[in-house]
Amino acid sequence: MLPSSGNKGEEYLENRFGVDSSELSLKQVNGDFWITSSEQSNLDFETEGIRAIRVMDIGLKPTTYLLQLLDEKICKNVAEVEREELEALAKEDGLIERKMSEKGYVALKFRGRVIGCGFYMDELISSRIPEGRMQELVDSI
Amino acid sequence: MIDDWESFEKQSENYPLQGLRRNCLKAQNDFEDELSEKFDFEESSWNSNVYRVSSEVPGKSMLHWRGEYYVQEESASLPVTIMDPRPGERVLDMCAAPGGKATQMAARMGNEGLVVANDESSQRMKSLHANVYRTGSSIVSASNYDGRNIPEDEKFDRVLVDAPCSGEGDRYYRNFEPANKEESVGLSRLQQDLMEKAEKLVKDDGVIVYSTCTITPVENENVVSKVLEETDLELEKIETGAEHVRGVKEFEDNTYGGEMSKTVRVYPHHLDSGVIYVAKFRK
Repeated sequence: MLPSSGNKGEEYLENRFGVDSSELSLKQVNGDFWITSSEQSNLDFETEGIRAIRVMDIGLKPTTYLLQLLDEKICKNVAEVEREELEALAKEDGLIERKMSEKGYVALKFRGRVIGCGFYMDELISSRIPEGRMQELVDSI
Repeated sequence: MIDDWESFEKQSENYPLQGLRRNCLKAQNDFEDELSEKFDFEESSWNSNVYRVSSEVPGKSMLHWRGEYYVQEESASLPVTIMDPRPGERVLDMCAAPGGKATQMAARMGNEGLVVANDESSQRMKSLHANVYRTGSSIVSASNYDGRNIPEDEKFDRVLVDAPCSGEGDRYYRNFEPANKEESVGLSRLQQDLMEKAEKLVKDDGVIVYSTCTITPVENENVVSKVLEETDLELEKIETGAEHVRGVKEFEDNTYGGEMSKTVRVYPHHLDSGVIYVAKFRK
């Protein structure tokens, strides 16, 4: 068990995905957690860095872009998928079968690379990669 | 002005090789193996992160989708290579959209420090945001100022002014047709204004890199010459392994001087790529 960082976003990533929080620096902005520069600036920015975790009523949800960036640092709750499964997940309400330990968000992996966020429940996984992006992926492989 | 007119003319009739830049923030160790599954490629002779590919659709691959590379003309990767941003620095890209150079900076800096990616076009900010996300460039903060109005209370170690230009080197835009002279003169004024602002934003001993993708000296050596006259900036000689020629000392009725040999011009026949002009200043 890794020591607690005191940051809910970082704790979530440690507990759910086994990511060492010492390698992370998440900043909470308007509720959500972002991965940004540690440098301070008073300029007026549209965005700073990358949204990492959305804070929702039902809990925390990692973004696809964060999971891609963490990639090999993720050592828990990873679901490796085959091409046919990827195509199935790209379809509306697409589901694939898996047996994993506990309900929650998972990192979807294809050909050895984390491609984004999925959700596991009742021995089924669904994709949480935005639909348009998911279709682009299928079209590109 | 063109060093080898025959080669230039011949090259302008062909489509160039596509270029792509490996994004070290996301590319995995087997990047080249994976890339070879999709495209025939060769490594650039002067930048080991840049590859030449023969495909017409170099963006159609899982590696691109995942942000392991950025489709970028080989010549377009030169300004940031010359700028040489280091981990932990504060750097500014004044005219950043769609983000090719800002994300290149973040990659060179290993996502340590701050890259301010500014662009005055709200429309183009969308592509900037998308590319920052896709490439995992988490130290990039995006702002939407007119470059001439960026507040001056914060200073940067390095500033890139990849200025709006007439794009004479953009074959898709104008197929090497010369720019309208009035257009170039107007752009030249804007380019000088941006450089004068950059001079105020850079720290003492900091670096400013100026670049355009146009051929006319009105927007290149003429701007550099005016900047040297009107600021305390000094030109530094650019050394690069990329094939190039030096900046021109005179054009039509204007004389820019020997200092221009510190700047570089890359033409399409040099790298089988696009046009780029680059000058490097030190404050």
